[in-house]
Amino acid sequence: MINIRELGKQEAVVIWNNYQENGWSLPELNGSYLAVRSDIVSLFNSVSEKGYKVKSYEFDAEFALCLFQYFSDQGLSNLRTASNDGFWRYLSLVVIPDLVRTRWDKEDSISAGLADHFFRKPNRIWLKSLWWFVYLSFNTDLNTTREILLSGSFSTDTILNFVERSGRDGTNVDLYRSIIRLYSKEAVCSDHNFRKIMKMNTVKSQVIEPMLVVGGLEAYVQGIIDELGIRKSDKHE
Amino acid sequence: MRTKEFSLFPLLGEKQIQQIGFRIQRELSFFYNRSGDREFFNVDRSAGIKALGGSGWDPDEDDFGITASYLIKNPILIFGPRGIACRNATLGLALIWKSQDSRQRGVVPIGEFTRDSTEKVFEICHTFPKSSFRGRLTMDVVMYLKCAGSPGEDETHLSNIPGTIFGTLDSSCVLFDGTGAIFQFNEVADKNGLLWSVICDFDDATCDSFYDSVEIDINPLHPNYKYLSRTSTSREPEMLREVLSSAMTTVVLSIRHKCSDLEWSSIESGKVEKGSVGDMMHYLVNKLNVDTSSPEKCSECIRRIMEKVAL
Repeated sequence: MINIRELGKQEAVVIWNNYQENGWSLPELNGSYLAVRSDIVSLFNSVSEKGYKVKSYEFDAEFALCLFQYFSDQGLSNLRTASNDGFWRYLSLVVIPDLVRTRWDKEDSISAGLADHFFRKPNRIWLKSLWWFVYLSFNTDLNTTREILLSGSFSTDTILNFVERSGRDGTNVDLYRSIIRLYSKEAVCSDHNFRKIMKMNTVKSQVIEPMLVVGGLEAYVQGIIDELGIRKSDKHE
Repeated sequence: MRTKEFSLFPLLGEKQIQQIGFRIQRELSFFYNRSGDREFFNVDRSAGIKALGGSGWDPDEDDFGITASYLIKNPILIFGPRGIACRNATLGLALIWKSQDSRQRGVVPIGEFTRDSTEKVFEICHTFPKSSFRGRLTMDVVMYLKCAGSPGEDETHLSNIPGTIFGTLDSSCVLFDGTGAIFQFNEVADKNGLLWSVICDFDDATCDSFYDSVEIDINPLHPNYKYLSRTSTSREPEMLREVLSSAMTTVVLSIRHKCSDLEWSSIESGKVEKGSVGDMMHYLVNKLNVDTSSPEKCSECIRRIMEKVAL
């Protein structure tokens, strides 16, 4: 099992500034994190070899599933670790900064907001958002989850709406899993419709607690799909 | 522009809570299980945020449990046109738990009652698995509409949507990590850096943790560090006071500058998460009368507060 290492915010700023001023040379790693780097790079390359473009949603989803399984095997898939920003900052800036850069940097210039995906915005740290995307979408087992996430119903916009805008009081995990499952199965799938579902949920849950609705979460989400008029059977596909 | 919230249907107010004879029979208490025994935490009940920890409890290895007991003596008074629910509706109590630091929330139903219920006791005992939370966990015991009724002509103004939350009866907040310190005060070595610096980084002032969003860093490699270090013979407490005053002024003005009008309105009214950036600002502005109308006034207020702090 890996010993958790964390990076504070200011330490992250120092490392980031060093990269900008002196170039992207990989820091020295030792102990278990050397093996972690090797393992994650292998996963990244294996997903690339499947033919997914690195900056695509399909790449993110497949790499997210692989990472989720990997961290689970390493005993790191608990919520205390997953919600520890210092852990994700360390991975992003010290262990695999080159991979984060490959995913998010532009070829001819430093993209604005690049630092957000490394450390600056907790909800935009790429590795963290990938883990949480799988966790919040998880249904039954990883294979079933993979079928849902790679069904063609989602895009990078999904990750943005789902993970980066998790709400001020924490995320109702069972609700999000119901939304992902029922949206891909019952609704006409588009970024626009997914955003509508998430917005309607935000509005309704100001007054109604979804888990206390008669019929539970399934009834609550089905109700939103009907209210928005985006059920698959209602539309000509 | 100041915004004000209002409800389109009656909510549970202090008057109704008294009318129904609501009592906390046993306050929210917290425990963990180890080797078949239940161990209770000894928390400071007067604290707004109760720090857990001590007594050998390990959040990574031990579970976390909550228990409480509530009484409603006169349930009938809350039904009907002068109440909050239709005469033949069913109301319920539930515990809503939220942890923004752990990115999760959930609900534990406690019990239900109708107009025909007599005096009733509601007990809750719930255990969360180990490694579930970090940071803060907020718990609210709420009253909600469990089953809709058939509204009479005099009841059409009442909410009849199941799941509607009418109000909070009890509330508590516990801290899983840290000492409950207000902000991070770190030493960060930087050979080219200044003596001190401030990080004030948040997305939503109304809920982002103040502790996680604000850092004051001192640089042990700076030539003047010796005047601030606790272990140095050259230590100058008044210099530390000036550094902290300037840093806190920077923090307050930064937060004021970054807040949207909507966030500031929530902060002024106190409608913010406990322990959040906004919660700290609300305390400073409303309780300690820090004037944020100009940098000069803000600096003066902060320095007057810091003059009373023992260093």
